Amino acid sequence: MESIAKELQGVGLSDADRARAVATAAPVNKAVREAADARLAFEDEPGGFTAFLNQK
Amino acid sequence: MKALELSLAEAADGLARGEFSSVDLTSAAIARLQEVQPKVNCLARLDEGDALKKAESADRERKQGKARGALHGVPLAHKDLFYVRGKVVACGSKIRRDFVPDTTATVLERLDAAGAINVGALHMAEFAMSPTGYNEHYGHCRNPWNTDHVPGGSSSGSGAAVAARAVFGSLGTDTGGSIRHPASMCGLTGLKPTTTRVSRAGAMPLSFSLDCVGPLARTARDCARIMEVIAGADPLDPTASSEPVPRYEAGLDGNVRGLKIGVARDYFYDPVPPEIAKRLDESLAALRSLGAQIVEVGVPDMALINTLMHVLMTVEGATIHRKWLATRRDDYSDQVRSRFEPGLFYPATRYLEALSLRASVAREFVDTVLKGVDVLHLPAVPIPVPTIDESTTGPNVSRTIGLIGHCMRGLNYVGLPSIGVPAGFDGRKMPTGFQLVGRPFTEATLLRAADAYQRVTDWHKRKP
Repeated sequence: MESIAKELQGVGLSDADRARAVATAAPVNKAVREAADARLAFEDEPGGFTAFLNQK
Repeated sequence: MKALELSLAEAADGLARGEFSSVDLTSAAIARLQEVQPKVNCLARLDEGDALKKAESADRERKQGKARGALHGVPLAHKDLFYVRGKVVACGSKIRRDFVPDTTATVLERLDAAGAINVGALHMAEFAMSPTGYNEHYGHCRNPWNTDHVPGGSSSGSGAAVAARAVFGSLGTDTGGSIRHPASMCGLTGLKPTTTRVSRAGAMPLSFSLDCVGPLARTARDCARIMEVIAGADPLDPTASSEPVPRYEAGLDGNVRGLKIGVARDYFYDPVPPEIAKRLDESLAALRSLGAQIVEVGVPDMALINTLMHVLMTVEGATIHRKWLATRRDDYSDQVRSRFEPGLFYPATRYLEALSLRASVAREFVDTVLKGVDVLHLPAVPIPVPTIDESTTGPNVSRTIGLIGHCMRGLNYVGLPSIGVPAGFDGRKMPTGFQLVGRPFTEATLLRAADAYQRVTDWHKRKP
């Protein structure tokens, strides 16, 4: 994960900045993955939100 | 000039009756902006010459019986992220300090068509990325109620300028509370509309899934008048809803009898100190006295909602800013850059999961907190307005910044409309307020309830 910013994103972070960002992102990644495992249906996709807004 | 103390609707109506001219009002607004600027730093750009020309033109049109619309001749100013063709729009940043767009934001075009006078651009947090108004490049904007305190951000100049009685209203943007924070902290009324209700064409993007454009003004009636002008479909913003725009102001009948208002205590009240809880209870009592029914409702998993909101905001923000994060790192303040950088560390699968979960999470939110009720009553900023020192130095900075948006940022993920309404003062004599939240496209109900409340209270009339 530590090499993502430099190698995939092309953004060179200092060691301290990288550690800070990873410390934020790691638990968030875990929480979203667990929520998706528990709640996301096979057919769910982002367009469902527009349908939610427009339902009466 | 005494007229600057009027609400926007009163000023517009006074202009229509010929009680004063647009040149009078606009000149007074410019003078007031210049007077308060050294103390509150709310101004990014003053367009004095253009504004006075427009005001003269508005007065001529009025004499010819050709008033353009409901805002004819009223001086306004807006957050410095709405593009104005040929003008510098710096977005509170060093990176865009020379940016001159070749288009004008749809919402500004609509205000212009309704006769409003744009006197300039108002200060803001760097790239709209702070709930306090923090800005290292141009100095922090300050709260006109006490200049040691933050005005709330990111639409900080909008909050400060309207509260200081320099302009009658202002457009801001709200990605995680950026209209409602300054509304609460400056004693104003601010509306974050339903996601997609107002066009974002020509507004600087931060997070295209969450960004909303809306008004900050003194009263709910003022917000209703602005909303009627700016809301609606826009061919330049394909995400803007074609849902018909109600006649918001005509619906302000003062009647909330039978309106069911939900109160969600868990999570939202956790950080609320007693003096703010007292104000919130008083606001509920006022609404109850008008015939509204108050009922307790449940609270969904707000930690999850806030987490999902964070993923959308930081990934979309980091995507927009990635090239500059690589090439102009030193041109961001540390506080702002460090809030974008986690967005570089979320896989596409997590981001799409956050988007794909949005509909079911939003439905669950509505089914939980709005089950059997018409609107939800929540704290706005749940802590006393911090000082600039408290939000920039010391061990509690992150916690303070996080708590400012505690009751707001999740609402951007679920996309619901929310209006911030002043409700009195905290223990330091700084403004505090509450939010009313509704189902999608129920801005008319929120405005009606807020207006009814403001008919029996006078917090919105208090001035610094």
